[in-house]
Amino acid sequence: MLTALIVEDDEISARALESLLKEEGFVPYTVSTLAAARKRMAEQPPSLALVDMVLPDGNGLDLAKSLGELAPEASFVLITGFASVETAIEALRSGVADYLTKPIDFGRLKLVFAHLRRERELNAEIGALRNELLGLGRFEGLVGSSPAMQQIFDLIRKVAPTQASVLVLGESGTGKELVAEAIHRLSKRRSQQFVAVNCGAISPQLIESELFGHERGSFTGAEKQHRGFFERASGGTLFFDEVSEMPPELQVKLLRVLETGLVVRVGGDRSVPVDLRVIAASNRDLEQAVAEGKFRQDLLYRLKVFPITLPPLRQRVEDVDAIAESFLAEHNRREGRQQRFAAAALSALRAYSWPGNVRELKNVVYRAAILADDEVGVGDLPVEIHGGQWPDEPGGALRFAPGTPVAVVQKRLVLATLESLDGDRTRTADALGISIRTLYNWLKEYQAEDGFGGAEAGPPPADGAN
Amino acid sequence: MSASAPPPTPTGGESDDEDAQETALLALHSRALRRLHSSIEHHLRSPLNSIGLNLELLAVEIADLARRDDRDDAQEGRESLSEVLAALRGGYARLIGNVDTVLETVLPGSAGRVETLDLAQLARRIADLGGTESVLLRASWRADIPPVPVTLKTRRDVVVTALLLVVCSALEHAGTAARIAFSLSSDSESAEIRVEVEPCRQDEPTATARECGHWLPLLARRLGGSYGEGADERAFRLHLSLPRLFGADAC
Repeated sequence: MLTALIVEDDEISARALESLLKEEGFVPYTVSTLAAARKRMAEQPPSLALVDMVLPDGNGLDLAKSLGELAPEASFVLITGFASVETAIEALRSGVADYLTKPIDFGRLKLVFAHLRRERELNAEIGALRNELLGLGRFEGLVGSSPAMQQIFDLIRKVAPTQASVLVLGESGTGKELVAEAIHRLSKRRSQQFVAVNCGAISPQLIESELFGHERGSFTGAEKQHRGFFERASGGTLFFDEVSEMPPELQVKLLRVLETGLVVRVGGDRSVPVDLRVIAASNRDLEQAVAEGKFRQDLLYRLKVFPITLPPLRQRVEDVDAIAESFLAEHNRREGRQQRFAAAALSALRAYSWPGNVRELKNVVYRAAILADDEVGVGDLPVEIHGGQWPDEPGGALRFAPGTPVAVVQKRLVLATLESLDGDRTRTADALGISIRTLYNWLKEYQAEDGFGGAEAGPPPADGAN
Repeated sequence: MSASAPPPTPTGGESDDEDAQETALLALHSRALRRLHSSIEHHLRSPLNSIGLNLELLAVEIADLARRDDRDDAQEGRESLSEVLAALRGGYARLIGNVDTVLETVLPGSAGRVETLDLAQLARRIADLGGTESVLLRASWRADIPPVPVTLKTRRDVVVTALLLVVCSALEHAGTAARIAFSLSSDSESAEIRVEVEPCRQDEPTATARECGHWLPLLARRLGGSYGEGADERAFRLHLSLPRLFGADAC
């Protein structure tokens, strides 16, 4: 059902508009003041808002500015008795979908309706696809069907349409930048820039100029004016990765920008207004950094409006298969291949502790895919993942990763041969080309090592028995 | 209205002096109109919008009526048509009223012609333009004008210019969130126009309250020259006292 809110103090125009909107299939309701419009929007966010600019209690454009909080999904059409370039620019900057001059060209208004319907259809399709992907544990480039990740997806969905600052916390490699990108993509700012700044990767000498920009001649080498990250991200989202690495003097300046929305370039004296949403990330304990005097408490409070803490991969083992499969699928798409994981390889991936989190898993999968033929097996995984031990491959073949210790290979080979010959030690020793005594000694060692009991070592044969 | 607006200076004999005053009056009038052009446009386009929407609706209702074959349905259709026609008449009446306001403001009458006019009606119309303009400035506007006629025998063009200047000077001094109060009161001798802006823009000069004499062209000159006299840092106030009789009649 498409609903339309008409904000118009001229009763005759409002009634006519209401009737015409009904003809177009909308459910319209009318209010005559900004205050009533705000209340109605908060109670029942409309699909479309048709708002007169001159209202008894203020300027209709001010309603557009609070649309993000009141009705982020609504299309806003401003209707004005006079068209000026300044108001048109202000309207478009406020996220107004269209700007119509009185008397309204109804044909043009019908185009707005058609556009809105199409947008709704597409959104519904996107929503259905998103839900389908969510069912498969996929959400905006993130993968995970574990309860912990489903909760993260829910937080992202809720915070994205707002203007709130977000602080993403989590160990290195957990996907903090992916979360920031997802928030940007699901926000009203999605058509504008997403600018990521790694505070730990820019030298302390350059970071101020990179963030704030500089005027020509402000320092040696400043040959032309430079717009910093703040200005370049204006209208969009600015992501500060490793925010704890920002020098203390810049933390003060960042706080000022966040509070005033104004930036002064290095060497400049003019304030430039910026419209930003800030997302920050850190793998450090920021409370601890505050206690150590390395991070400003006021900045932490300003950034931590909405914290999201990503769990390490070892705490969501159930997601490992899906994440690994998604990386392999990506590799297959890029390389034009059709590789798949062997069940044993996935078991080995699940058993590993992943200190480097998803980033480490990604690198492991790509490396294994390069080494493997059609099937990615345990042997294609690095030795630190499988520790040289994994279940038998189908058909009884054994595969070892380069670098596997000889002792591990020997043990696996002896036990697999013994098993394939139904525990017949004599035939096993013959097959392996060793004496029966040597076999007994090895089996005894294995039993001492890990309580191997699949084949009792038994008493060693008498001397000369081989 | 800027602080640098110089008051017109008489340059020669009596005739030259009068010509200069009339020229100055016209210049002040056209400056005020430029300041209020958005409101004037709004006053013409808004009733046209109402008429346009109802014409659109009329077309829908007529097409709908043609499809109805049931008698009750047809009756309902005719009632809808009557409602649309009533709305069209309402929009038309509003357009006529606003055209009158605009004409009275833009073409206030021949220079020098003295007539009896209703100052309350004139003040309401001009205050209406000020109200629209203040919405664009995000300032609030309150007009307190008695619902009864306040007759004045005077030159209409001069009074219109004076009222426009009062409104424009208030708007010039109003920043975002300013409160503008415009009022008219009268007694048997004179009519009082007052405007107050609080808080006023700190970067704008303020004017003192000023009484004006009987000679109305001088009133406009004084208004034009009144800017730049700072008196109060927080508020801007302007007070006009208009005699209800013209020139010698007043004595």
